[in-house]
Amino acid sequence: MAVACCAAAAHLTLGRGVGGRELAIDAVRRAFAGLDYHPVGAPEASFVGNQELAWAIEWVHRDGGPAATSGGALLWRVQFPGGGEGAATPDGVVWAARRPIPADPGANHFPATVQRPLRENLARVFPDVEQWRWTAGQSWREGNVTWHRVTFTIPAGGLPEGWESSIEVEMAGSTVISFQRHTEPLASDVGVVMGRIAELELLRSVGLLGLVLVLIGVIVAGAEQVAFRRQGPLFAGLVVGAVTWVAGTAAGLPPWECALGAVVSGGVIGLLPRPADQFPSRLLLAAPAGIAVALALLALPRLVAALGGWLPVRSAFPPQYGVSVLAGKMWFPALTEEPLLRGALPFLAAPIAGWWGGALVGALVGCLLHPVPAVPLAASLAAELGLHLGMAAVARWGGLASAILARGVCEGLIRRASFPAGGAADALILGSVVVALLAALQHSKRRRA
Amino acid sequence: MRARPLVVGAMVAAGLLVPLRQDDAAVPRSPVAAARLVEDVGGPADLSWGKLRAWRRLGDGWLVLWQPSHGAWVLRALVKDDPHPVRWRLQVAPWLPGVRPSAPLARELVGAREAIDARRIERLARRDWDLSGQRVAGGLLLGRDLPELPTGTLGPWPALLSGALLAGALCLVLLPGNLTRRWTVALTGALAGLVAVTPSVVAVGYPAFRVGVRPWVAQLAIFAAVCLVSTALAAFAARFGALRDRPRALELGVAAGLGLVAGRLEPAEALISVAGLTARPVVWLAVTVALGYLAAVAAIGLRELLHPVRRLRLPFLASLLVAAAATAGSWLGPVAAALVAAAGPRSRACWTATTLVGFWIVGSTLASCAWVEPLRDAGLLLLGGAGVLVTLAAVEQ
Repeated sequence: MAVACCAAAAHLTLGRGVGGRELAIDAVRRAFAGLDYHPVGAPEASFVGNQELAWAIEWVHRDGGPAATSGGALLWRVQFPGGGEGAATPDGVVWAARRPIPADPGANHFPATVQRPLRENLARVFPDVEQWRWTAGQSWREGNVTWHRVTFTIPAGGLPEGWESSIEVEMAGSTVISFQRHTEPLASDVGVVMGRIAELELLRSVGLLGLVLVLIGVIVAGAEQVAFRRQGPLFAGLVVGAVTWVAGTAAGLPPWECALGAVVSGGVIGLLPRPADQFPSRLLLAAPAGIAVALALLALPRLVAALGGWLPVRSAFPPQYGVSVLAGKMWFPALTEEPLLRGALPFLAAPIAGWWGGALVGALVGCLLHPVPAVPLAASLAAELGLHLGMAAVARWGGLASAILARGVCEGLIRRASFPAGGAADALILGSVVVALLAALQHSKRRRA
Repeated sequence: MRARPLVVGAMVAAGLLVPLRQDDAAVPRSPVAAARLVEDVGGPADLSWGKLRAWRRLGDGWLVLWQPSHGAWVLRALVKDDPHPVRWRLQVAPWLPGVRPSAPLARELVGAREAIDARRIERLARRDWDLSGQRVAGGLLLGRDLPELPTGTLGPWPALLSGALLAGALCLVLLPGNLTRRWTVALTGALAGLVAVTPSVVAVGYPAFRVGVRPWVAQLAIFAAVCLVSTALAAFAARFGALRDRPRALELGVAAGLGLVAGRLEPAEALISVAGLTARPVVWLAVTVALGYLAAVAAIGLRELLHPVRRLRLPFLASLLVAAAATAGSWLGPVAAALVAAAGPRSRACWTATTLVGFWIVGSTLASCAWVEPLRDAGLLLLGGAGVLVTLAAVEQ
């Protein structure tokens, strides 16, 4: 089973990140060469994602498969240490470039005659420049150099119908200094995505209200424990709280959110009593369950598309990219939401509605916390509900620790496609699976002993 | 001698008749009437307003809101109690397409005769203008900016109530006494009634209706929030219960009188908004039982917290009540309920607190609303409540 888990995790991880880094660097280098500039040094490439644009493109291409790499939704930003920076799409289309201003930028041009030399300069980078339509231009003088800024409307190749593309070019003297492409999506296509995002934000506030209510329950139950002088696993709570704080910091969350998450998870683990009929911990369930839930969720967009709806293939882009951010995004929700929704809530609700009643309420609250826009909206909520019901099942038959491990693994596999390709991120996710399996083996050995 | 019913009746009457400083005049019209006024006066004529979705009392006026079912725009209007002028403001989704007008054309659209400051906002498929508070989106006139909703802090009284509530919950576990589940059943029933009428209560969820959010999603969010809070309250009551005792008419009479005074002294804005609903009696009942129960638990906690200074308990509670009357504002009802209930025996805290909260709602409505429906309902409740108290006093006699 361990081998099968590793194989499945590798299948869901390797090659699923946003690639094209080398292709983008080459494209930017070629563009600079076309502008008679030869940057020196090894460039730094960082990933930039435009969330609304990416989802809007996915929405428009819902029948023909995702094409979020077009339109500049996903870009590699390339910076050369000796000056000059640019951006290109993962499939190697140069999107922007800015070179340093040369000491002698060449002969100045009058605004009335700048169009021809500008097109000739750009032809070395963009062969189809003659098909571009001049939209706007302005000129100004800085010292002895005349600057021109020109906007062209360009053919929207590869973009959905009704979308427009433009490029803004700056030229000093006779030298093209920079260009920047812009995509203008059809308002109604972006509106579908932006409307859904606004709706999910509102629904998320209800989910947060649910978390606050559970937290109040935890505080009351914790105070009860203190009043009766019952000793809980305080040290374990402290450790979990500290790990949660580290995960939140790694994810780039604000300090108050990290601290709140640490208090919540530490409080649930350290203060809440362990019921006498607590479910036995079966850590062997964690990794397979996490992978199975991730597999189901990753297959869901196709199913929704087959039924005539739309569910994004990619999860939300994080505000920053990096292995530590991925680690934080994997483990912070696992360490905060699982103890609250699968630990505290079923415990608090058990005398009234039974464990499953509490778990169901927890799943309903949880499904409002991180949904992505979808058409219909219920598809996204159903997907999240499936994730949380899966975790409830893991917590019921494998214990809370299994649910935390399964959630971490599952989050990593789901989020992989929103992070750049790279061995470190792959190793992090596969390492998490291996750690979950090793913990399970260790735990089972201890139980046998 | 049959003085006790008379004394109880006199207490209720005193709560209703004692002269109070009244800065604010009663609200002259319902939110629905305010909305009709806007429709008569006229707002933006270029597009469909959609249905009247929500309202909120703000200062000396009603904020009313219309939104079509696609949610791409929201029309808000502020109708002052003096109806001139009615101000309206259209908010449209930033992605909606339109034209890109020049500054002179934008000034022309708002009818500005002299040059006023113009701030340009480029959108995805249109250009917006902010002309000293008057807005234009594409070629569409958006009206003038409305006052922002207040984002005030909660203040010390909710913190005091929360602490007392936690202490009360612990007291009910550590020193349970003779517990009863009847209050839990009553609370669950009242909250179930509230959940059942939530579709007609969503109109008071004004902040949930936003541009780009379809109204059914906003209504679903409000419904989900009401369900969550109701479930949590019912679970809290089921876990901690309440103490069993018979009510005493004189205590309830004092609570009723003080509740009426508290309501008349500081009418709560939220209660004025609720008065505009058709399902207002159900909401009043749910709020009375829920707030009454919570205030009773807080009272039990407060009582135990003051146990070390038990001889000074009554003067301390009285001074707190005076301070609350001066500073608690909209929280006066629940705070007064907790303080008055803490002054009596803890086994009857639920009766006292619930009575005070119920009469606070009635007093607030009678003092702040001048249109007929809520006055009728509050009057009926007042007569019914006073009748029950007098009957109880007579039975006790």
